[in-house]
Amino acid sequence: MSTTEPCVVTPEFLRELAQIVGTERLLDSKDELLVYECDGYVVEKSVPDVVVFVESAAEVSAVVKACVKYSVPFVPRGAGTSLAGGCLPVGGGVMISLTRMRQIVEINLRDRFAIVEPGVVNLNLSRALAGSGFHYAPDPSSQGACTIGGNVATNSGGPHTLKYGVTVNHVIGVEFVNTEGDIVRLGGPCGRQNDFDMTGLFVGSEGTFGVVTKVWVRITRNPAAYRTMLAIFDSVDDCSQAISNIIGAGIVPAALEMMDKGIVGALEEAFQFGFPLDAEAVLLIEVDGLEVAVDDEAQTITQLCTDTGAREVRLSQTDDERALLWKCRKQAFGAIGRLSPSYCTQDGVVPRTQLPQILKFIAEVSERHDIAVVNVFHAGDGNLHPILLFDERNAEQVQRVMKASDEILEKCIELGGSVTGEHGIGVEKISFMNRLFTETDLEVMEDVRKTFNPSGICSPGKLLPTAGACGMEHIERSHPGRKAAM
Amino acid sequence: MSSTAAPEGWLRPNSVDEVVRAIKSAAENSTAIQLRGVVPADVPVQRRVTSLLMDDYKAVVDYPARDMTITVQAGLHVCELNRILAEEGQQLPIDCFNPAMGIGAVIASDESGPRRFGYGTLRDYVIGIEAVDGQGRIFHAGGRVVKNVAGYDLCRLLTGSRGALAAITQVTFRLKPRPVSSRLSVFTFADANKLQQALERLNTTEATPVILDFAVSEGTAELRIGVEGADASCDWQIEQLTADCQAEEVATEQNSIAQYCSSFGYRWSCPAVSVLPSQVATAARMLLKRGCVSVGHAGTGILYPSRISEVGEPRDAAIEVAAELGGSVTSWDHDHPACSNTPLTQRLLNTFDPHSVFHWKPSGAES
Ligand SMILES: Cc1cc2nc3c(=O)[nH]c(=O)nc-3n(C[C@H](O)[C@H](O)[C@H](O)COP(=O)(O)OP(=O)(O)OC[C@H]3O[C@@H](n4cnc5c(N)ncnc54)[C@H](O)[C@@H]3O)c2cc1C
Repeated sequence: MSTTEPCVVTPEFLRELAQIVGTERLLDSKDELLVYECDGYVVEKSVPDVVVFVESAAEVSAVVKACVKYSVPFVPRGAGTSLAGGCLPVGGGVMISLTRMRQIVEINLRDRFAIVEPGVVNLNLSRALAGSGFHYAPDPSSQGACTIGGNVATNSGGPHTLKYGVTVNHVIGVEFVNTEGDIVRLGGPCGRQNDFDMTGLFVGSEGTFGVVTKVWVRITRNPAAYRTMLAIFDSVDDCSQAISNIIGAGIVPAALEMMDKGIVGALEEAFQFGFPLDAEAVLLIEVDGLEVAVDDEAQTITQLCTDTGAREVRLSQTDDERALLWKCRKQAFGAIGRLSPSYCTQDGVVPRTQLPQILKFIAEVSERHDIAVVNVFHAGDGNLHPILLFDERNAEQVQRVMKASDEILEKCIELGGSVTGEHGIGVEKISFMNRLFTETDLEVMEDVRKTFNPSGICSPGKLLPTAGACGMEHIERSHPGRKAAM
Repeated sequence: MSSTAAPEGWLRPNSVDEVVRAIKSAAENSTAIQLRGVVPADVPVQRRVTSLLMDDYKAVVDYPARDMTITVQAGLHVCELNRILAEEGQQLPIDCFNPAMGIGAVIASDESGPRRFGYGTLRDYVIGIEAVDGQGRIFHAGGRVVKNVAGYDLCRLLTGSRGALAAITQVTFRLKPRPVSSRLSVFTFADANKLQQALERLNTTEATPVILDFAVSEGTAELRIGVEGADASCDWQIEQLTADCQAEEVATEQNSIAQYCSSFGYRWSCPAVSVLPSQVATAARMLLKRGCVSVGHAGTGILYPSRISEVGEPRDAAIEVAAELGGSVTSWDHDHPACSNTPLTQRLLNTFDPHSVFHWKPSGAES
């Protein structure tokens, strides 16, 4: 598909789509389509020409075949919680919504896998497993809304992925509809395959390889015991040093999350957990495993934190207290509204030992641009989520937020890190790709995209600076928008 | 297996540029490159072959031990890598049949052994890669941080690609701490049925073994289970496992996991049957009926059959059993990803290696 050719959605094409999904599962009126003009990344907007709500792989296949026949681009969409504009229908075309494909097809506890349709909400899988002694490990903070198909496409992480790994470590097979409309299966539950690791390549391809219609995921045995701690620091520096010391000591906690003073204040106001309001930073630390082992680990961590200047390390005493602590952490975004009318969440990564440097840099940037920044992030992985607070009615402030965000991401690269640990490139970070990769790297990646998606008909304008967009150039960012935090 | 030509020349590059030159020259002259240590595709070769030995390209590029990552050149031998990591109390927990192999070849072959049950495979550890494709293009993917979703995951594509797509030149791994202590217990059962019952109970054990292996032969069956951690937690786990297994005999050794894992190395040459973990005991019984004993990884559903009688032919038996149970068979000398004839695989091969420098496609032959 050429980058200049505008795509045309004809009445004939719409009729063909309606024959596949029925008129009640097809939206094409302007008002209804507005809802789909963006996802969790609201900076760039583009309304699809039509949204179809598919219910089976056969329907996806028929829709894709129709798109090919009429040269209309398509983009898959799960719950639309992407924070990188992954669902943006660049250049219009068809949005294929997978939210009605929400069957858990099989749960096999003995062989430790489940087969799910792509629209299954992440938390619903864990709910279905409740009481079985098993769970699905990847737990993005958006797990109450986001879908497994979206998780596969973005290779989602979450607080507990520090110990358990991100989505790709738990996906063993994928069924997808390719860009010709054929149903293809990659991988599966048996140990070894006679092929390249296509499943591994597919995960994180951000919807540019085709539409996932079924996923084989690993399920994980629940740990026998947890210890959840809150370490309280009077300085951000000491806190980031403690993180570095814990990892450096060879301890891999199940989760290691940092929250700074700004976010703690907002959380306390929202949840009245009893967070100390005068602390500069707190660390939420969880260890899990054998009952005989967790106390020793918790003790070592307490000692390491105290040695690094923690003024107090609290051990959560009950399951309810632990649950509330995690609720605070996972709903941190809800509390940010108390701080500012608008906010922009960034997603950068640095080597874990560089946390003190990057946090210092973020504070400097905040001061230099006079933009308040709060931090709540997956510290154990070095995965930052600085949240820049602003008022979107103030155009000049908006520009400063953009500048500050870019400087932070550039610093992540300079410190040996990356511009995204879990939200993906989408449309948001395309301009950073040639700062992370060489021209040849991008050329090879483009070649790989073409092996799956030769005409560029699937999710144009995403992930790679070279990815073609039908009739529409990549829109320059002009606005940071309001985004949810992790 | 079809005939493959013996390498006619050696090349020991000590820079990526030399690798590029070798590949470009092979592409221009219609010759082939074999990556030393990687068993090539099973396709007839009618070309001159140069063997690329990466042994001189083995520097540690960066080892920020406190970040628990390491970046190394591809020729570094696995044993040397593990020695360096051990000094910092760290490890790359991958079992490898020949520790004197370069790490690039180990990744290309996706080596794994008993500990894959507890630790996963190389796909869980390679976080950054540099390689040269069949057009002589140097490319990178991933990076040096443990969490990173920028760009396509070519690290995983190259892991297990058996040298068919590119020559790996540099890698970054995420690392694990070395365990303080370990135990390896052998639980003996009267037969495969008893073993199966034990495996069912073990599925919900509170212990967290890193090894869950089995061996089934005529009249006896064994589980070989490895645990790691502090002494107290190892001892607690063995006690728990003993209760779960209800075996006739138990023998436990301390700190012998490394030795056990390296002794598994010779298996690389056997056909491997992959089935669901719940089918392992059944598959072992079916193999016995076909004159083959088997050992393997009960936790991950991998069996290696070998002959016990005149009638037993491991590969034939493996193929029959896998077909009956819906599993698959892989072996280094017969099965190669480059031979998978799905359109996607073939397109990837044509993209990365349009001149068939690596996968040794005979000149003029269509894939
Ligand atoms: C409050 C909040 C908290 C968040 N926390 C986290 C977190 O902790 N960790 C994290 O990693 N992310 C987090 N995110 C980001 C987001 O939730 C994840 O990226 C998630 O995986 C997206 O899932 P989704 O179903 O919403 O997908 P969508 O947003 O609908 O789509 C995301 C991408 O996947 C593609 N896609 C969706 N379904 C399919 C399919 N079936 N086949 C092919 N491609 C498909 C889309 O085209 C798009 O490119 C958070 C977002 C919010 C709003």
